[in-house]
Amino acid sequence: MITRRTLLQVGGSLGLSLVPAVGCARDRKEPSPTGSGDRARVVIVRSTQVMGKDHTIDSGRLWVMVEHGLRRLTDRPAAAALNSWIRGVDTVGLKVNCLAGRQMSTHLELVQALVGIAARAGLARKQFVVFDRSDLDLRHGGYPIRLSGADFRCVGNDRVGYEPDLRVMRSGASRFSRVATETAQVLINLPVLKDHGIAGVSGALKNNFGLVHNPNKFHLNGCDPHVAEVNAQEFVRRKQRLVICDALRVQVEGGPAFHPAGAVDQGAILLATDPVALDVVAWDLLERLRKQRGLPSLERDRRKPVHILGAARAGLGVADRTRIQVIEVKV
Amino acid sequence: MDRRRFLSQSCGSALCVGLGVGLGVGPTAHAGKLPGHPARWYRKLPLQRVECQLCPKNCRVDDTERGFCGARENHGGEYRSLVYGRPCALNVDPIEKKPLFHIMPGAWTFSIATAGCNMDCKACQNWQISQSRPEQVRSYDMPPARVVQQALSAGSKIISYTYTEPVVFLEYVIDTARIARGKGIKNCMISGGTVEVKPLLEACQVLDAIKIDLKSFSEQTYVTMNKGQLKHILRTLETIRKAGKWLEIVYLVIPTVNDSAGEVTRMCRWVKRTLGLDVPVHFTRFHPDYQLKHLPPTPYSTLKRCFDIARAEGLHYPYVGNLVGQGGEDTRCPKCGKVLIERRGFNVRGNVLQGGKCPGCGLRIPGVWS
Repeated sequence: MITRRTLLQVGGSLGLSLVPAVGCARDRKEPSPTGSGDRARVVIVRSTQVMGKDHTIDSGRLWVMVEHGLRRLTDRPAAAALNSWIRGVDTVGLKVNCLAGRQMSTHLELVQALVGIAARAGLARKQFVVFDRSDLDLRHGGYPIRLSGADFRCVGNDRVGYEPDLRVMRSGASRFSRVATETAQVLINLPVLKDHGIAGVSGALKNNFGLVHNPNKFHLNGCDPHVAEVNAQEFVRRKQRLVICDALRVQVEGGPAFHPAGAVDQGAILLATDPVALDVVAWDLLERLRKQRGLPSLERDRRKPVHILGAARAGLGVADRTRIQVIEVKV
Repeated sequence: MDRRRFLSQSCGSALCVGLGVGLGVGPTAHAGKLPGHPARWYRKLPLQRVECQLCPKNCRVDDTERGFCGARENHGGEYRSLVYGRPCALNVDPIEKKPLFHIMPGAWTFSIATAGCNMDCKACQNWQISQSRPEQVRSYDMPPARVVQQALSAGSKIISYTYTEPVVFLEYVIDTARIARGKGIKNCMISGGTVEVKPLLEACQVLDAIKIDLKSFSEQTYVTMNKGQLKHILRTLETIRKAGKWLEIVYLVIPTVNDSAGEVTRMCRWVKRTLGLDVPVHFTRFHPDYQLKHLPPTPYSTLKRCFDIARAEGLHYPYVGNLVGQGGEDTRCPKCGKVLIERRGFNVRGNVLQGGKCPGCGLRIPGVWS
């Protein structure tokens, strides 16, 4: 249970303001989180050498992949792109996904590359806060719990807590992560591409279930419309600027937990500002990988990711493949 | 006795040893061994998935994930209860608070709950614990034997499994109730009734009474307001009745949601036809909370109308609840009309039952009176 004292201690040591910094983000002219509204761009960056046979990551190569991806996504240098989203902001929340432990979590090296590029662009490393559901999940994912210091911080929602008041949605009600609602003024979504036994695909949209205190209530009907309702929260739409999906290793079957037999090395990352478009492209990639392994399509397996289509219907992004520009880059 | 007083009186006992143990302890915090307690009523599926068979939601739960209730987690194909022996609420209440009016009137009941619920009712009064995960609430370390010990220490003749949804901690209920029965303590379950028949029948073997919240008499309302299904609740009511356990029903009357005369009449007729005239039905007043803060409290006139409908349909024991002193709280003999148990709120002001019979006409009044 989080007391006000604990929250203040954590917030204080993080050097964070607990005052929602609405003004910081509102006044600047930023790209819409959903691109231009009717079209979207998704960049897939691949490298055959970013991952070693023992699944170790070549950090330098991954750094280059992120830089290339940002450049192709925004038609600007990576530093300029990050600056346009982050400059003038106190704190950036990086929502990782560590549910499946070290073998199938957002790679720490991806966070390091992103923060490193930002630092080279003149931003401070300590502006970044990596967060997920719990300290324990983060530790299992390979992240050190870090509340202070010059580098980026790592903290679980269970330590910082959830808002005391409920946000009532059409199909349910939740308390949301205080890191996301209060601490961070900008959110960058860093999901892992995984098969999901109920939702079909776990990508950008599904990763934001880690923002609520009761995700177990939201898995009925393939998570539709629950995923859309969480992602439609005003603060999510306003703050979330970028998605970088970790597809260095993809769980094509048996997810969202890690099962080695169903994990495939892909050496890829996907970047977009539109979470729906990114999830559509990630869905297609997952289907291709499943087909290569002789697995049935998600629809045939009665796990068609309807939550992605529901999010599109809710106006959260573009699901029409003819309106999604997919750029593939090899590094 | 309120919670504060109960806890302060228990300071010298083992109770406080467990206080706060659950603070911040995550479900996978027990390094080297599986967390929680083995769950029952599930089957294993390929890819280390499981299908829960405790309640009719039959959640298919991926490895590392939890079911809808949030109280059970899959660990590599082993389904585990995260709340066994970890109550988050302890209290000593009058049995009338449950409400159970036909079991030991005026008795104190040691009441426990754990986090989690397999429904999501928009009118929930205890959503802070029922709709939270176990690690998000303060909990006590209290195995079944210690619950019984605490009930005895508190002078309670009954243990009630209540506040949230006992179905999600049913292993704990059954193990505790079994020990309690050996000590002469009765056991009551206060439930929403979303449970499979097999575990329910196992629970019936050790329980003395069950109160079921019938939240509406409309499938559509159950889906939209409770994330449940009426047909499952009706099946539960029939099962309890056939198992011979004492059963009472609460119908929380929510303005504009389930308060139409037609719906209440259909419900009463179903009770009469399927369960019989002797099952008490409590029409209780709604207070705005959780997701229904925009609705007003139920007016007395609505509750009185429900009460009158039940009487007109011939039900022997309708009651009005959550509204003190307006009438409808007393138990009357359905044959001669004599007031047998006079109540005001949770207080029993008089009880003239003699050996469970009306002193006026001798009619046996159904219930658990001693």
